[in-house]
Parts: sequence; C-alpha cells; structure tokens
Amino acid sequence: MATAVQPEKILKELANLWVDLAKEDSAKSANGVIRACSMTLLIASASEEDAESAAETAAELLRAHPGRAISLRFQTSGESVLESRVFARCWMPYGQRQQLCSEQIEISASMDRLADVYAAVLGITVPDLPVVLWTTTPSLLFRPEFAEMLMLARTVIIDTAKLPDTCLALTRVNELFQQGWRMKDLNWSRLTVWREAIAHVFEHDSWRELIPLIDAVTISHRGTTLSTDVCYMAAWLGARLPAAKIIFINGAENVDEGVQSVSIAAGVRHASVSSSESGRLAIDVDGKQHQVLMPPQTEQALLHEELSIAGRDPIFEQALTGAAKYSGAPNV
Amino acid sequence: MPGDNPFLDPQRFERRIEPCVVVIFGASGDLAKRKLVPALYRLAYERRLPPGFAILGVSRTPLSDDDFRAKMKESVQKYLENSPFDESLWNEFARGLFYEAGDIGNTASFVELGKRLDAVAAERNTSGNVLFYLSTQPSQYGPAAAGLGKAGLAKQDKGWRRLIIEKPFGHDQQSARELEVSLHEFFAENQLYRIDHYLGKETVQNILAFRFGNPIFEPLWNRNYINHVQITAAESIGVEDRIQYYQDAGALRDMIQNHLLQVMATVTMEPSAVFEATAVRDERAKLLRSIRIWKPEEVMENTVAGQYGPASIAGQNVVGFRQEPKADPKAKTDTFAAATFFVENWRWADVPFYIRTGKRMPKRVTDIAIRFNSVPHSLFKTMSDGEQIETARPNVLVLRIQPEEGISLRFSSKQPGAGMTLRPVSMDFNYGSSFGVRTPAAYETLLLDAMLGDATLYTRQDMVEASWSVVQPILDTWAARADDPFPNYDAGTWGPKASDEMLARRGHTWRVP
Repeated sequence: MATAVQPEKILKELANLWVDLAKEDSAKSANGVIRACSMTLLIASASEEDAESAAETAAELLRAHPGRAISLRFQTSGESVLESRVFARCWMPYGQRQQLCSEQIEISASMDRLADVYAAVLGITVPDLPVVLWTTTPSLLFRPEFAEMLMLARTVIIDTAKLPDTCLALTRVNELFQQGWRMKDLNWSRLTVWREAIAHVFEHDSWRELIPLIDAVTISHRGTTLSTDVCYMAAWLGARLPAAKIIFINGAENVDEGVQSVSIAAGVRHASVSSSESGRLAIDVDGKQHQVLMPPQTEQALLHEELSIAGRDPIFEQALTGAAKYSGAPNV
Repeated sequence: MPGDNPFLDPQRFERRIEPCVVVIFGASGDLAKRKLVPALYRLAYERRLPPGFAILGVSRTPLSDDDFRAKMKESVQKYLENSPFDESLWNEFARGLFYEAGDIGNTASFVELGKRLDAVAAERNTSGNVLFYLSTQPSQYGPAAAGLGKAGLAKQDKGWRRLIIEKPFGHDQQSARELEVSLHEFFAENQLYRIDHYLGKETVQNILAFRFGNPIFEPLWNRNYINHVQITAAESIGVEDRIQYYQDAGALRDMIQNHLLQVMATVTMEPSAVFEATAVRDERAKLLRSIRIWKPEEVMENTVAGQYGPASIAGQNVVGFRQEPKADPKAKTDTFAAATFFVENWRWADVPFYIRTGKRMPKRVTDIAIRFNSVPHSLFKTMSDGEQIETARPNVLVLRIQPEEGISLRFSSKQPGAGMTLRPVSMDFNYGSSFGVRTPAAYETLLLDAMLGDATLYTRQDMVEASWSVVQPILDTWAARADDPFPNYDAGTWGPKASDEMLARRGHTWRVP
C-alpha cells in the first residue's frame, strides 16, 4: 500500500491526463477538450459512502463551477493509509462539439496521516483561485486534529442538518465565522425559496407599511426540536420585524425536520407561506392564494447556490449570529 | 411611502417584479406564440413572476379566454427551449391568461380594453401596472400608441404603464422621426422600451463584463494597440418566410442599422460611471453619434451591397434571391451589406471598423474580431525560397456571439522542435460549456427587464436617430445608382468581391470566422 503522496507527482499525472485527453479527443474530432478552472474544491468525507456520493455530486457541480476537485477520504479506523489517484470527468455539453473536462484528485488517508494530507493538498491547490472546503461529515470540523486542514480554505461549506445538536452546531459554525472563515450552510440555502416567497409578500407597499405593526410570526416545523434552519428563519424574520413575537409550533413526529409553514399577522391582515404536497409552496396573502414550484433541494442544487456567491454573504452572517438565541427556544 | 423591502436578498433572489399585466397586441401572431408566451412561462417556471401577474392577449380574431389558453399551451409545449413543460405549473400560469378581441384601428376597442384591464387587475391583484407589447406590423405602432393614449391607458396615475416595440423603428430617418412624434404624443420616453434582441443576448452583455470587469484589457483597448475590428453576422439561410418584409428592408436596414451598430457601440463605448440604464445608454448613444457619416461621394468606396444569386451548395441547388418564392425578379434588395466605419474620438481615431452581414453565407456565425497591431520589430523570421517570411502573426481577440458563444485569443507560440518558428494558437473560452448551465433566452431577459423598469438593454430614441444618421446616406446613395449589379455573389460564399476589395484598400482582409 502506498504511503506517500507527492504533489509534484500528482501534478505531473494531471498534466499527462490532459495530454491523453486531448489525444483521445483529437482522434475523434478536431475540436479538442476544454479545460476550465474557477476554484479548488476540497471535499472532506469520513465515510466511504459519503465520499462516493460526494464525488458524484462534485462531478455534476463542476459543470457549472469548473475547477479542480480534491476528494479527501478520511478513514477513522484501520491501518495507516495514504494514497492518491487522479482522473478527469468529461462530458459533451448539449449541442456543443467540444468536451468539457474537469480534473479530480482523490486522496485516501487515515486520520493519523492528516499532516501529510495537509502538506500534499497545499501543493496541489490551483494557484490564484479560491479554495473552498465542503465537508460531507460536518463533525470533522469539530476535531482538533482537523484544524490545520481548515487553514487550506477561506470558505467552508457544511450542512448543519446532518448534526444532531442544533445548539452545538450553531455555536461551532459561529466560532469559525468569528475566526474569519467564510461559512456557508446548506441548511440556510434550503430556506431560500421560503425567504423569497416571504419577500414577495412585502413587495406590496401595503405590507411594507405594516412592518412596524406586525406583532406575531408563527413558524411551524416538523421536528420535535428546533433544527438550524428553523433558527435561521427565526433570526432572519426577527431582525426585520422588530415588534413581532416569534412562536414555534412543533410537529408530531421527529421526522423530516425543517420549516413547514410561516405565518405573519398584523391585526386583521395575514400572510402565510406553507409547503404543500407535490413540491410546491402555497402563498396566502390576505386570502389571495398562489403557488410556486419548489426548486429541487438536492445537495448539488444547494451547493450550486452557495458557490454562486463569490464574496461575503452579510444576510446569512446576520442570521447565523442571531440564530443561536433561538436554538433553545420553547415549542408550543 | 414605505421604504425598500428589507426581506430582499439580492445575492440569492432574482430581481423582483412588481405585480403587473402584460398586454400583447398581435397575440395570435408568430412572435407571441414562438417567443413571448414561452419566455413568460419560462419566467414563471423560474419563479420570477409575481403572484399578481396576468397576460392579456389582444388580436382581431374572436377567441374566448379558454381558447386562448389552449392555443398558448400548444405553443409553449412546442416552442419552449431547454426546459421541461410542467402541467400543474401551466394550469397555475394559465389562470392568469386572458384574451380580448380588438382592432387597433377601432377607438372603441381601446375603451373595451380599458374595462377589461380593470377587471383583470381586480381579479389578479396586479396593482394597475401594465406593460403593453406591440407584437404587430410596425405600421400599427403609431395608431396603437394613439389608441392607448386617447383611452387614457398611457396615464400612470394607477400604476406604471410601459410600451414595448420591436424593430424596425422607422424605414428611414424621416419615418423614424415620425414614429417618435406619434409615440411621444402619449408616452414619455421613459415609458418606451425599444427592443433590440441582440442586446438581450447573454454574450453581448458579456462584452461589457469582459471589458469593464477585467482591467488588463483597458490599456490595450484603443487606437494605439488595435489595428482594426471586424464584425460579422452571417446567416446560412435565405430569406425564408420574411420575403415581404425583407425585400423592402434589406440587410443594411435589417441588421446594421440596429443590431450591429449597437454591438459596435458596446465594443467601443467608454465605461459608464455606474451600471444603470441612463448611464450605459448615454455612453452607447455618445459612441453612435461619434461614427463618421459618409458623404455621398465616399459611400461607394466604403460600403458594399450584395445580393445572392443561384448556386449549388454541397450538391444542392439553391435559388438566387430574385428566384425566391414571391420575390420581385428585379428586386434591388441588398441581401449582403458591408461597411467601413470610423469612430471620431481620441480612443478610436483612424481605426477601421468593418461590418458585414448577409444571407446565404457559408455558415451562421456572429462574432467580433479585434485585430491588434503587429509586433513593431520582428525577431522571428524564416527563409523560404530566398525570401524572409515573418512568422509572428498579430494577436486577434474574437468575441463570439453565436452559435458557440465565447472568447478566444490568438497568439503566437513556438513550433515544437529545432529552430524558432512561430505558429498561431488559440486560447479558447467557451461561455456555454464553461458554465454548463442554461442561459436565459434574449426575450426572457428583455421582458423581465421591461417589467422591472430597467431599460439598460433597450434602445433609446437618440440612439435610433444616431444610427439612422449613419445609415441613411448609404441607403440614399445605393438607391440612386442607375446600374443593376445584382446578383453579385453566389449563395454559399462570403459575399461579393467588392467586399474584399473594400478591405484591401486599407491593406486588410476579411478573416474566415
């Protein structure tokens, strides 16, 4: 079993890979392959199953966000391992004559080789372009020995829905944010369609005039405890509706956590957004009803949304810092 | 008045449209069926339309709302591009579709339209905002605007009122001014949206991103480094079913007066202080006013009109323009037009801009090629037959608009092996495949912008007039020539010889796109 990963060797293998791809392609057509790169995407996983699924997701994601994907597969038990391989994922975009390829590097390592992984990755990130770390195993971020790996990236994407303890999740994500990382949470991205629908309600002048008078917001959720998305929603609404009391109504079963409906009331005026069957959001504004299609909330779609925001995300940052106070709020 | 909406998240949400009704005149026509309603449905699919939204189709044909909905459903299913058709979303969308039979020439129709608009506004909660789209013959623009105005439908007391018209904006300079007068009688300039769908293309917008988002090019973007610019918009097809319009219009009016001069302005304009409609359009307009206007005696040297004749293309016989069905056998229509333009300002003085467009050319392509100067002193020469051959070729930056949108840069590289021979290589950025995501169709972008009140990608009256000022002397000179040079190029070729000669006079040649 290989026990060393040399950046120079990986880069050489990558270079050879591109030469081979170009040769293969020119044998088929004269149009060649296109190499596009906008970032390095580090994907950290602590289970083989997660890693496989993340690699598939990354392959799809790289179509819209071309870059070098480095898949880090950490083995938390077993013998000491450190090995790597390089490969490319290519596809022919619809109606095009040129293949588009993105390179992927896979590094498998046991946790005792983290320092070696860090050194190797340091040498193979794409120069001058952003490095984004997406971990499919968010608990990795909590491990002290992972701290050095974090230093590789400026942006960190996690999905706090995968963490059982909402309070701990929000605390840890907040800590990293305060330490200077640009944090992104897929459980915040899940709220976009909801927030957009609520924003729509306030497009009407009459509803904007009501903002200081809105005294109650009710968030119904599915789980028996508040998940991070419910806390984010509360923080986001709370920051914009200063007079509103936020009430949480929990679901009957501890399945499918997440927001189920949001109701906003100001005297006799009422608006609500709720998830309906068949993947739609039902919007009711003063008795007038309307439905919108829920976009797919696959991991790929959520990541796409987060990667589309290149700089800071002050609205999320505000919700993140405000969410912690709701994590222990009582349910009705 | 309440302030801004604090719930918006511009980094994640698309720009919001206020509740409104889109009134389409000519709702049973081709444009409405093929482009407009599919584009609006697509916007609904993308969740871009507000809950208070409706479409009111207007046309002479008597139809019920349900008939109209059925027809539009068929069209959307047929013409929707790169998108799935969602039956339940359609049902939701179709609830906002209405139809009113009416005749633009009949004053009473506009009174009825006003009543119907009130009813639709109440039913759909559209807040009195109306976007009128004239998908009609250009000759109807004036009467339609007058009808709307006289019925009080242009007044903005209950909500905004906007009017979209499609090119051509006049047949010549005079008729463009007459159109302006008739439109302005009831609509203010900021209510008018003149569509130039070229400006809605993602890659034309990308020219602005490329130029003003990448400071490395700015120092090179002037007469000191750029030798000349070639803009090509070629169609491989003939006139097809547009013969009636095209026979009178011709290539110069159809393409250069509007689309290609706008593209040229986008490539050459100064950066605006902000990316806002007025600022960007001011710069475009300023550039268009800076284009040198040819005197009649200069026109023939600097422009070329062409018309395709019959030929065999890939073993298939293709008729000439004059043999096309319903064509006048003596038509003097220019199916090809090429022109040399100069921009009279400090940045571009003496840099030729060559523009050509035509039907029945070897392929469909639209691109802009910026040819940089040659190296001032060459080190890399090779001997051939006793002659020293320069091997370094000038850099060419190509901005491709269609079909494969992207940017490529030609530069010189050493030929592998012994010696120092250079060969040109191309560094290629393919817009569509680099970002493997769907780009919105031009009509989606432009309809959305009009509903948002963003006129950045729309043409303004002063731009229309400036373009006509450039084109009118050419049209007049061409119309006055006594001889009949047509046909003067074979279908399937890059145009008449005179077009090559026009460039040769300045030591240049057309590139093959």
